[in-house]
Formats: sequence, C-alpha cells, structure tokens
Amino acid sequence: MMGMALTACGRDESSGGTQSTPGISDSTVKIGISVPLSGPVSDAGTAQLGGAKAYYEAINAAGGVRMRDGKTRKIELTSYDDGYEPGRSAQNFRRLVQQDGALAVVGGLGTAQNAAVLPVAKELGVPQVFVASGASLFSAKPADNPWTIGWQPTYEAEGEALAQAAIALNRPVTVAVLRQNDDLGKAFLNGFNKGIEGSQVKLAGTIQTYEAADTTVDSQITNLAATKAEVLLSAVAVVRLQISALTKARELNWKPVVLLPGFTQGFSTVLKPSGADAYFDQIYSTGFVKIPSDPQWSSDQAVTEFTGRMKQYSPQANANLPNAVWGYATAATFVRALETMDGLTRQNLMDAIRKLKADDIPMLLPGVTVDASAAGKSPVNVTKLFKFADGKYSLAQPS
Amino acid sequence: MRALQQVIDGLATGSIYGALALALVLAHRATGVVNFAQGQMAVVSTFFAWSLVQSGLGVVLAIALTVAASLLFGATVERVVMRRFERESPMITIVATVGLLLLLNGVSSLIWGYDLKAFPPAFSSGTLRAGEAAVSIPALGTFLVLVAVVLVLYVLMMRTRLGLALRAVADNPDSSALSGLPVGRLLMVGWGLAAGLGAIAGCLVAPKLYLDPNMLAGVLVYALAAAVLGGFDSPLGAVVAAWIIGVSENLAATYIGVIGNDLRISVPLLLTVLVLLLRPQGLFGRREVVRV
Amino acid sequence: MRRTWYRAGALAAGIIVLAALPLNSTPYTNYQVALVATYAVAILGLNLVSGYAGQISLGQSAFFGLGGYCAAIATARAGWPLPASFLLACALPAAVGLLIAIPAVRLRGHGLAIFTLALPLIGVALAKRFLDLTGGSEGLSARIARVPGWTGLDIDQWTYYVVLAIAGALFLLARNMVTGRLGRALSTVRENEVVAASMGISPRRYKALAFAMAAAYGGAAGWLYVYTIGFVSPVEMELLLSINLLAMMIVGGMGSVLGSLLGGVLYVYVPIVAGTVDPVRTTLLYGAILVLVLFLAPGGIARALHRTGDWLSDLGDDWRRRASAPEETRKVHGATTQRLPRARGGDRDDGNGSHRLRTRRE
Repeated sequence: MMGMALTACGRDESSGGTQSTPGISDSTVKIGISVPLSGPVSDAGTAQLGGAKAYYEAINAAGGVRMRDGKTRKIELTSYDDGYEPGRSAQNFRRLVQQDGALAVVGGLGTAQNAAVLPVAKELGVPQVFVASGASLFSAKPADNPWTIGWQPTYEAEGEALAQAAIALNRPVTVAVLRQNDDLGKAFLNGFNKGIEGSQVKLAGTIQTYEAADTTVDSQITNLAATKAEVLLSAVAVVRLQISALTKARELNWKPVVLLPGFTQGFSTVLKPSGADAYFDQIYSTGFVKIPSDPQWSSDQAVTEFTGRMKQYSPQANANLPNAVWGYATAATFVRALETMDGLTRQNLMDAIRKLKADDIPMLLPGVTVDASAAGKSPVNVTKLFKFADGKYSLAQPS
Repeated sequence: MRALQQVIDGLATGSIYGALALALVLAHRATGVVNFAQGQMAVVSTFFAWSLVQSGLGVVLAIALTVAASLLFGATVERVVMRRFERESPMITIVATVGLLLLLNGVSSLIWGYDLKAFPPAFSSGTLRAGEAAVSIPALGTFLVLVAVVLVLYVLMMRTRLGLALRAVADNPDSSALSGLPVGRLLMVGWGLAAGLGAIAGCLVAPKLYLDPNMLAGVLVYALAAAVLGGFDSPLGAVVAAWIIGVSENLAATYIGVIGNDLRISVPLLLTVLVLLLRPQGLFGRREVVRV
Repeated sequence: MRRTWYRAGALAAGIIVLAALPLNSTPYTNYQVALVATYAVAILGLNLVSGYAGQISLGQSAFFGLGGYCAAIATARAGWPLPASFLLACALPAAVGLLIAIPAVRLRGHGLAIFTLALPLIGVALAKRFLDLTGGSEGLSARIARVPGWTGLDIDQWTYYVVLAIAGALFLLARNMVTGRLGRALSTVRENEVVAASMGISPRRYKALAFAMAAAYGGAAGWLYVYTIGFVSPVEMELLLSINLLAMMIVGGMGSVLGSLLGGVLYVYVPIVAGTVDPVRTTLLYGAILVLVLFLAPGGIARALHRTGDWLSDLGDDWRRRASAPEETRKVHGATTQRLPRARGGDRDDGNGSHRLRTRRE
C-alpha cells in the first residue's frame, strides 16, 4: 500500500501542455521523431529529419498551423538519434513522450526499429504515425494497433506494380528474382507473385537472395543468368549491390527486361555507373514521389519550394535522397491532420488521421493521393510504374 | 559452364579478399600485430586518392601519390599509436587496433560522408569472353596485380636485407635490438609497407565496390579468415587461401542448398577451422615453437 | 580493514539509492537504468573470457541475441514460465559456446578471435532464416514482464527491480568465481599457458570454460534485455554490438567487476551524450574514448578509480598517523614510514602492517 503512495510522486508526465491535452499548448504543438543519426544509415536518417524539419520550419515561418479551435500554433520538433537500434528507438519514444511531453511521434525510420516502438505506443496511448517503412505491419491492423499507422506504399504494393510491367509484355515469360534475404525482400516477392497470378508470367526455377552486407552479388547473377529468363526482378535495396547486379548481367551478355525497386532506380546512382542505361533495352521501376533532381520537375512549384526550403533549413541533409522527400511529405501530411483535428487530445489526432484524405500533399506525384481511411492500407497506397528511356524515367502506359 | 563461371567469379571476389589479406599479413609479419584497422586504413587511403582525382589528377598518378602518402601514414600510426602498446599483452594491442578502426571510421564519415562515391578504375573496363564464361578486365587486372605483389613481397622479405631485418624484428625484437638493428624504425617501415599495400588494395577494389567508410567492412572478415587459413605469415598463403575461400563460398552457396546465399560466411569459417585443426600453422605457415 | 568498511558503506549507500530510485523517476529513466544493468551483465561475461582469461571474443553479441530470442520464443510464444526461459537463455548459449570453444581453443592466438568474429554474422543469418520462429528481420515483440498485484508497483518499477536483482546476483556470482580458484586459474592461463599446464591447469579446458561462462552471461543479458524492452531482432546480434561491448569493457576496466558495471553505464550513455553534441560523431567518440583510455589508463576507469581510492586512503592514513603520533617520535616515524615506490602487481600495505598479495593484474 505504501508502494502506491510512493509511486505517485515525481512520476507525472512532464507537461508540454496541460494534463488533458499533452503536447499542445495555446501556442505550440510539440512532436518528436527518432531516426538513425549515427552509423552507416545516418545519411538516410539525417535526410528524413532534414526533410521534416524543412517543412515544419517553413510553416512556422509563415505563422504556424491554423487549427480548428481558431488558434494558430507553431510546431516544435524534438529529435533523437537511435543509431538504427530497435531498443533505442523504443526508449527514445518513451523519452519523447514522458520527458519531453510530445503529442505524437511522427515519421520514424526503420522497420524493426518501429516494430519495437509499436507495443510501447499502444501501452502509452500515444500516436506513432506516418512511419517511414514499407512494411505492411504498421497499417495492416488498425483494430490491433490503434495508435500506429504507416505512410508510404508497402513493399507488396511496389512488387505488385512491377508485376504489371512483366504482364504488359503480353507473352509467356519467366522471371529471375534476386531479393534481399529478409521481410523486405519477401514482401516484394509476395506482391509480385500476387500481381502475376493467373497471367502468362512465371517465376524462374531459382530465387537468389543476398545479404545487405555482401561484397558483391556476382555469384547470384551468374546463377540467375543461367536460367536464361527474359525478365529480371532485381529487388535489391542496397545501391552498391544493385550496381554490382546490373554490371554482372551486362558482363555475362544477359539482356533481360529489368525491373527495379524505387530505392535503387536512380540514373546517376545506379544506371549510369553500371552501364545499364546504355545496355538494357527495357528498364522499369516504380515511384510515388517527385524526384527533385529529375529535370521534368525543374520548374514545378512544389519541387522548387522543397529544394529551397531544404537549403534554407536543413543544409546538412542530402536533399537528393528519397528520405528527404519522404520526411517532407510526411510532415505535410501530419500538418494536414493537425488542421483537421476536432479537439486537442491524442485520440482526436488519431481520429483525424484515420479519416484523412488529401490530394495536394507536396512532392507526391500527380495522381498519388493520401487516403488513410482505406482500412488496412497505408495512407499513400498508389505507386506508379515508370519506364526508363532516353536518359530518363517516364510514366509507363499499362497496356 | 555455370560452375566455371562461379569459379571465375570466386577468383575475382577472392582477389578482393586477398588484397586486404596481404596487408594484414605484412603488418603481422613485420610487427606481430593483427591489425583490425587495416581495412579502415585502406579506406582512408582510398578516400585520399579519390580526393586527388576529384581535384584533377589522373588515376594512376593519384594512386602512386596515395601509396607514398600511405607509407608515411602507416609509419606514423605505428610510431604514435601502436608503439605505446608494443610491450602490452596481445589482447591490448588488438583492442587498440579496434579503437583505431572506430576512430578512422568516424573520421572518414565526418570528412567524406556516407554517400557512395565512384572511383575511376585503373584498368579499362571491358569484358573478356571464352565461350559462355566471362571475366571483366578490371577483375583480371586485380588478379594479376595481386600475383605481382606477392612476388615482389617474396623477393623483398626473403632476398633483401631489409626483409631479413623486418623478419628478425618481428620474430625477436630484443635480440634484434641487441644485434644493433634499429627496431623502432623497422617497425615503422613494416606498418608503412602494410599501409601502402592497403592503399593499393583499396584503390583496386573501389571501382567495383564503390567508396564509402564501410566499403571494406564486410571484406575484413574474409581477409582475416584468408590470412589465418594461409598461415598468418605467408603472403602467398593468404592470397591462395583467399582464392580458395572465394571459389568455395560460391560453389557451396550454389550447390549446397542448406548453406545457400545467406550462410556463405560459414564456408570460410568451417574451412579455416578444419584446416587449422589438422594443420595448426595454416596452409603455408611455419610451425611455431614456443619457448618457455 | 578500514578499506573494507568504506567499501561496504559505499555499497550499502548505493543499494539504498538504487532501491529508492524507481519510485520517483519516470518509466523512461527506470528502463534506462535497467538497460545499464543488462549491458553490464553482457560486459561482465565478456570480461570473464577476455579480461580474465585473456581471449579476445568478438562474438558476445551472438550470445546476447540468442538469449534474447530464448526469452521471446520460450515465454512469449511457447508460454514457458519466466524462470524456465531464463535458465534456457543461460544454458543454450553456454552449450553453444562450449560446443564452439572445444575446437576453437585449439586454434592458437588469432584463430579464436577470428572465429568469434564470424559468430554474429552467422547468428544474424540464422535469425533471419528461421523467420517463422524468430519473426525474421522485422523482429519479435515479447512483453514478458508481469507485475504481481500485491506489490502495488507499476510495470516499469517492477521491471527495474527484477532486472537489477538478477544482475546483482550475477555480479555477486562472478565476483565469487574470480576471487577464488577459478580466477587464479584463468589468470595463470592468461599470463603463461605453458606454466599453467605445468601446474596441472589445462589451458584448453579453462579457456573453453571461460568462453562458455561468457556465453551464459551474454545469454542472461539478452534475456534481461527482452524483459526490459520487450522486443528482439537480428539487430541485437550484430557485430557492431560486440565491438562496442568490447570497447566499453576496456574503457570501464578490463578484468574488473566494477569495470563491467562502468562499461554498462558508458554503453548506454555515450551515445546519448554524443547525441546532445552531434550524433554523427558517435562512432568517432567511441573510438577516441577507447584509444584515449588505452593510452592514459589501460586498466580502464575502474582501475583508475581503484588507484585514486588507494591514493586517497593512503593519504588519509598518512595524515592520521602523523596527527596521532606524539611530537618526539614523529621524526622517527617519518623515516620508517617512508613510502617505497609501489611495484606493479606487488605487495600492498593495507594500513595495519600486514601485506596482501594482489592476485589481480595492476
């Protein structure tokens, strides 16, 4: 009994607002983010944080977020480094909530990292929203995980989109698959398999896997080339290994139709260094955001605004990494949720998010909208197919 | 034909392991230390070469200058860092090299960042084909350079007075000092040479692996295994072991289902343990006698 | 004698502080302290094989992860009671460690280190391969801590007490082992294997034993980690964790029980401190601290603390002696109590005129 009395003192959540509306005061909204800012993935984490910061700072500079109770509030973002370690991500979440009094934690990076946070969010009743991961577990079961939601298209969705390119060939073809040896790779393949179900497209006899830490994938490509498949699904998430894969295919005189995932499609980062741009006849990939370095967007207003804001508010972040765009766009999505919130509690925020629909989130491709009301799907669940030709990617016309 | 290609690929990957293994063996041969930071030192040298190329120098000249600078770099590290620990237990020296690894990794990420950088190849790109088998010219070039370096090292260590002095100092520093050899200076030379070798290794493999602070992190394990398997004191042994590792991991991953691609790392491990149990001095090493 | 009283006093004070802490701090802080204890146990295990037995091991993270998966799979998935999964988390890694050590200790010198280097790599690959069991790279959620109703505590406080109690017991166990026959045998093996063999101490057996114990402690730490964080993934087995544990062991104090505790504190708080300055420099900071400590205080912070403590109490003894001696005999005393330079690892005058042979390395 004494224990209960003792436990009461000194353990209140530090207030960033009042007891009933944690994180929201009359003039500020406090939010948090946990990303890898040290270690090998730190440039992705820095970019994710930089993109978010750029958007929030720009909004603050223009006065803040106008919320439904009539008050305009500035956004205060607290960020912590988790070194891509799930244990630290979970602890950072607690710290953001219990020491810094954040309303919500927005846009964290990493699948395992955020999977560790998920039960903590549930325990504390704090929103863990717009997780930057393509794993479907974050959005799949809203009833089980009421406080958590993803953001970007899942790896399954990407795989499914790429399947359309194989189907569009309109003839029986075999697909050789190289995938990462983990859930990401599995999800990709599952989506692809779903997409080719009932079609003339079949998988080749062998599926080759690789580890992110591998030196090369030469051996795997050699095995795949031996199948003489007409299509290569190179679901490789590591840039240097994608270069290795495409280079080896070229050296072996194997010229399949190449399907690339969004993270390793870049012209300057992957295609040119491997010589793929000049060698392969058909290269397809997916996308849902505007690539800032793509010349077709050079006079696009959202892109020029993005580039300018990144330079102004997050100069140390690499604006060319997809994470910068994701961070920026998730921030915009979150601000939209703040604008549509009825009330100031965390539950009100989740309600607003679960109803959120928006078709004007900056940096999303035309036709890609946010629809968080689609139960079980990620808020952004449209991904478009692109074909590489004449030195650039253009929207592919599905046949 | 697929098996032949796997063998060729294995020799190519093995050459990457072997290049770093050579540097490891040389450092150990000259100073008795297993340098866990060898890969990181090589990466720093390669970044240096990259910076030279960025400022306009031709690749070959940049590499030559880098090797020279690395000789100095290695010698300095020996004098400033490792000298302090030469009388300590082997464990402390290894931990010191681990500290060096972390330090150099942090420094390179700070100066050059984590984004991948392209490194121009010293060999022309192109592919040689024989039937269905193919080997890229850079891979072949790396292979040949490796063989050449082994020959040069052999001549240096076995046929020159410098090599004799280096071996003496590593074998028995006290007796060497008593015999009048400048032990300190020779240790610096040993580490300098190892660093120079590391620079060559890094510049050879960077065009394929793409340069970032962790470029050789995965290679280090294989290089260590190759050095151990070959008998830590034999340059030829390290390189041959590296080739064996490269080829066997490819063949095992392809034809032994239970190993597959994800457990390739177990192949050099099992090989090393097996060989060392039967032949503790490694494939090419000399039998060591411990006197009490 | 006085020194023992100081130590006992400090320990008692520490225990009181630790016992009261969770009642007044946020769950975040309580879990942080529990994490410190967790990593301290892992480093303690590493100390047994690397610090005391002198065998470098870069594989501790593999056992840590294995223990964690035991906790998660046995309790959360298969419903085993907690003590049973704890025993499994200690026993399975110990068995694996022993199995590996038996051939591995016959490899001279570097062979063992490189062998251990490969363990985390294989561990991660296996954890991903058996993903039906382990959850694969997405990891496994396992909230296994349960508060008994009668305590009236919140779950974070209960977790804190359980983790600290178990860690404390493991520390006590280790301390008893190393100050006894086992510690002396390991030291002998470390110093000179041939001498050890001639004394009837089999180097291979003791090295294998040390390795198995290190693995058991690593596994126990993994169990504690899952108890605290409620999650395990292949990341917990990665090589970088092994390297950082080794580094913090050295900085905390090799071959020292106190050093292991300090290592745990450092492991948890160096990244946080680095984060307030500039998180990008964390790796650099780790390396710099390690190299600096190796240069200035190779025995680690614990040894430096011991030395400072010794120096301070020697000072106190001197002062007390001078103050209590009558005026005429002071000069005589001054001559006879002249301090001889302290030999490395040699005798120590503990203030009562009796000498105690230090069995630990200076």
